[in-house]
Amino acid sequence: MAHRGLYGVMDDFDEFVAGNLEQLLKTAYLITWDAGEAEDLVQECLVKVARRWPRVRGMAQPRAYARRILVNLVLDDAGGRARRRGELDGALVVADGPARDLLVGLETRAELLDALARLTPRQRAVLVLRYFNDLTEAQTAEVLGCSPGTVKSSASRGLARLREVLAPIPNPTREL
Amino acid sequence: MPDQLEQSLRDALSQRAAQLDPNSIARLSAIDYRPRRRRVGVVSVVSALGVAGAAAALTAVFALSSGAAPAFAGWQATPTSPAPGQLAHAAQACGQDLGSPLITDSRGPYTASIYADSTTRDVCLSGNGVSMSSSSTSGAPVSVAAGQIELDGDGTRDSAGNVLTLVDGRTGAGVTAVTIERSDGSSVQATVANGWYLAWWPGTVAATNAEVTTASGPSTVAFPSTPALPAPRCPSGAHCAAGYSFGGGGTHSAGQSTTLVHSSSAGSSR
Repeated sequence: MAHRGLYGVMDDFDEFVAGNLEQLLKTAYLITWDAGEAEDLVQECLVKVARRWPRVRGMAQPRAYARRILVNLVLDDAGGRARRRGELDGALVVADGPARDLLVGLETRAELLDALARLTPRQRAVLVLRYFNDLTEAQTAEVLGCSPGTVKSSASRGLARLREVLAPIPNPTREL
Repeated sequence: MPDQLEQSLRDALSQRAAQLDPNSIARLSAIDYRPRRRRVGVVSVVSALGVAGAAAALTAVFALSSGAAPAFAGWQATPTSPAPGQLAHAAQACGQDLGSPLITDSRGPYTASIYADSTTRDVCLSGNGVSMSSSSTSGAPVSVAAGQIELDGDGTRDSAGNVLTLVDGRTGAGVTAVTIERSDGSSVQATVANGWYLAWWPGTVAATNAEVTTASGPSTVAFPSTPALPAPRCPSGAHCAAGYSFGGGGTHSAGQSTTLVHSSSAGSSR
């Protein structure tokens, strides 16, 4: 006899995983900047989503729910590690001091990646959600649990800082 | 129009993402993420139809599995002391990732537990071959006034005919005891601890009133009535059994809003 009930409800969870796993993993990877950590965190995320799947499947945006769970896991994990290292994870600014010096004169995409790698996970999260996941400011704010205004100002400050250190990349607003 | 830096950022992130080892995706795809709980037999899924007049939406889904023990043999109307190992077994059945329960309610061989944060609530029940889980969310954290209780409840049945009704919720400051009065005139004493109460019973006898005891004495509040179940609705592709829930995150003073949740046994699965 065929299984009934929850098994039937969970059938479309497999479809959800198949359709969203890669994007979730890439998102985690870009925020953590570490493939191993990203893999672990995506696994933890999907376990949580699976446990609540009978409810999540009825949501308008199950993908958004999973993304929110994932980003929270990533930032919680990163926050714990940062605290253990005595680091701060505050406003969206490129690090000062030696790290800042390393950003001077960057010109290539690889160097842009180096600059991104030096941002904190929370700083990267704003940029990843906005420019990799193509979320709006409001959607990004919902994921991060802050206001759209905070997202807007954080992203602007981050872009401005990157623009400053990536001066060789011409900005159309400055070309004239 | 995005400037060149924004486009460079998009390209750089895409390039970085493309460097992921494809084996990572393969490894994650091969994992079974489904909750590791016993599911012999099976049961229900309920589909929220809406909350009339409630400020916060609440949906509830039950998954109940029943093994060898029929109809909750050994259930008690008054909470009992758990047998050695009973709570540990219940915690194991509920899943390690839920953390520590806020309240546990033992009735004979069965233990029900609540795990919750500000907006999500998981209720687990296990024992004597039965394993049940429930997850619900409210749109905003619930605040309960002193001496009052939140009125929430659910009911469901499995395909083997086992049926249960559960009521639970937060308690306001000063609440020391809660007794659930049922439509057949009988009553069930709830467990009260850590700002929560919890009671359940076999069958579909409805909760009609809650006697809430504080230092100033008992008072009685009415549960929202549970309307007759409407035509079955069931998520596409799912097997469902009858169920209902009521409440919606309010306290008894928040009105009589009712969430009716119902589903049928129609549909097919693997």
